[in-house]
Amino acid sequence: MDCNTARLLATFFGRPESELTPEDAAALDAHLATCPKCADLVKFERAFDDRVAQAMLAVPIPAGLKGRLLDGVAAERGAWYRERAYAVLALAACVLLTVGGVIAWQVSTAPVLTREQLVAQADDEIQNPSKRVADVLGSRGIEYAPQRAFDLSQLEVAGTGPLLGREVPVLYFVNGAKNARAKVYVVRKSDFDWTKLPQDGSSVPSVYGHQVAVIRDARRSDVGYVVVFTGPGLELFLEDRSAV
Amino acid sequence: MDATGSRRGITALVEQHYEALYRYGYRLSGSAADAEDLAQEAFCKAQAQLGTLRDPGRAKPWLFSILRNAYLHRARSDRAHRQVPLEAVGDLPDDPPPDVPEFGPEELQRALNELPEGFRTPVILFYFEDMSYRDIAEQMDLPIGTVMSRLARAKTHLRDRLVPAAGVGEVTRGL
Repeated sequence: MDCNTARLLATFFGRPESELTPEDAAALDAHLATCPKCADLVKFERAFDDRVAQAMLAVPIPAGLKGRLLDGVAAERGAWYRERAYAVLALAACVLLTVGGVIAWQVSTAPVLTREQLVAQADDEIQNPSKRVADVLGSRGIEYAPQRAFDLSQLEVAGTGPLLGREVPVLYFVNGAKNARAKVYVVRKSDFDWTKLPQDGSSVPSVYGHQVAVIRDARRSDVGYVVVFTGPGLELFLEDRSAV
Repeated sequence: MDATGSRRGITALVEQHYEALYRYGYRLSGSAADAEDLAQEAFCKAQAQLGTLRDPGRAKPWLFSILRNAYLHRARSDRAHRQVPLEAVGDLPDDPPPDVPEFGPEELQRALNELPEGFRTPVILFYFEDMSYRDIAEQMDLPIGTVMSRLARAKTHLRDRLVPAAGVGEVTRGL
């Protein structure tokens, strides 16, 4: 090892915990053993490093510093919690105001229910059953046209209801005199394959007295009126009974 | 911030590291008042970010890093720091004096204050914390070669200021 290399390595050799590799450290030691000038230089460098390290650490710690630092972080923590609490309170207030506002708006804009309206609607339902049926089926794109028309004077309810998990139009008929009822599900083939049911309008007896029949639509082959009913027979709920 | 855990955690950190952090702040800023402010700011920030300290064994370098960032933030708004350009290549003196003369902490601080922060920090960490080049590089987010170069230059500056008799034989200036 020459002097230049030795001095370069010595730059990083000032402290005992040298970062030189063991090989470089051994080579440097060997050079220093034979080169008094470099040895003096490294000796000076080490002494200088020791002196600087000693002076570097000679910083007096002010009295009470730890207590002041702990007080400071405690105060900061208190401020943080206060800010957090204010933020939570502000958020809660906003939510309360919003919910209250929505409720107040709903109350203020809710239509007033009157006896006159209720009576008028009930009268209308009795007077215009065909309109009720047309409205319900029309909302599903179906025009009311069964091959055998139902007796709409017996119509109690026209709406939608579940049929094996799917919402379909339902017409509910009641014949008080015979204590018989009929539910008519208006289904399309895209809703259910109703073609496996009896197609000729004949009834199918059930264990609990229910019977099932199907009436096809007069215009659309994919629409069927599936009737689940009780009583003496399907004819009870159809118009033009003499046609049977 | 978890209430109890945070309080205990930061209290332990203050008790364990406040002296080192204060000294580091003092050597960086050169002022006792600034050092205390920096230590306080570092602990307050550490308290808020305590959840990000994954390895408690690395708490000290983590705190040092926070303090240095706080110092850099202040230094950016306070450009009045006197600094000398560091153009001398770090080198050993050709003819060192037989003994290193006495110098005190104040003289050292004056010499440190003349260094740009990018050179002052590695030399402080090197002597003060016995940090390896790798640790300093990690702390300053610099390549290790840059740290070695800056450290050599900073040591040359300190040697020039504190041991004027140890003049470097062939100094390359004006890089």
